[in-house]
Amino acid sequence: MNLNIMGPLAVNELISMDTNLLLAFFIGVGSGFVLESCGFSSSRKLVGVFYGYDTVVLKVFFTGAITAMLGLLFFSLFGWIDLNLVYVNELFLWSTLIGGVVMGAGFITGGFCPGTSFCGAAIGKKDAMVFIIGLFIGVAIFMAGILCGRDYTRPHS
Amino acid sequence: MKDKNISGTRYLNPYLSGVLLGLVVLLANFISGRGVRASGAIKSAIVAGAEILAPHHHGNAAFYKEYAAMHTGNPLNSWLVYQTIGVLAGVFLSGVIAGRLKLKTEHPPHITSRRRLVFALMGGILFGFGSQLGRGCTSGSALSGMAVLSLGGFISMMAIFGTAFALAYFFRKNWI
Repeated sequence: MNLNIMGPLAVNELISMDTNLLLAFFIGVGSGFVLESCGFSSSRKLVGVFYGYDTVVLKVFFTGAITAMLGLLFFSLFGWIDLNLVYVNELFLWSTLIGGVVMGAGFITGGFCPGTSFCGAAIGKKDAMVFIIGLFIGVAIFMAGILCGRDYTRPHS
Repeated sequence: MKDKNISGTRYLNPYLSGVLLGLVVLLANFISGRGVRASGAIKSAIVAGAEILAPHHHGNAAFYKEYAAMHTGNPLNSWLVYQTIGVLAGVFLSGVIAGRLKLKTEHPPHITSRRRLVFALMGGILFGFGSQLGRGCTSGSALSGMAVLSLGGFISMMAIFGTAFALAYFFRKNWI
């Protein structure tokens, strides 16, 4: 039986834009539910990996990446998804490296990353809410810099 | 310190969580051709705000041009924004089921709430700035990037976790 359904569904226009947005909501629900269930809404659990008292971050993160990786590989082998149409993050070496270093400093200082701060905030963690305020300030500072004519994101390609 | 001692509640097995999270990322790629993201939602909100406050100001900036090309229409009407609203709903649901819904500032007993919040704000500013520089945060660049075997994803992951680990010693009094 060949139903001729090939992902990505939205890119191949097999589903409408509205359906795509509705599914985006449910994908969000799925990821939010999983992240909260395993403890990503707690900064002390997240940061625990850097002090050796809690390794949940590494376990979840790498298991997740490997699962998605293998899934995409098999989907591609079965002809269920066209990997050429899947977005692959381009490499901007220096901005990725320096950005990662700044994010790492933010992680150990603030105890969250953007996704996990949404998790914390949604169950009432005030520290997560304040972290999100910080995110807005940080993104705005960067964008103000861009407006002043400096495009930091393209030092290398 | 065991997992459950920090907040007094039980969490889902991390490996099972990882598999489920991976399936969500797989599904996102299968449906929309992109993985999950987080920091982009903040950017969308700010772009939407900037358009209201200064509709013509940003017309020439490359950053906005690229953004506008990728996101046609209202910045708040994008895939990412629906996904983020979903995340908040999913988290809330899990919080209700597990009984973790509570307004509080989480910090170790030996530091004050105020200190925790000041550092949370500073960390947020750094992470926000870094996520724009690095073109994506832990979700969009590291997790989803690694899932599609993007070299940038692996570099991002190592830079974020490596730096946090390297700096952990200096911030130990905030956490342990």
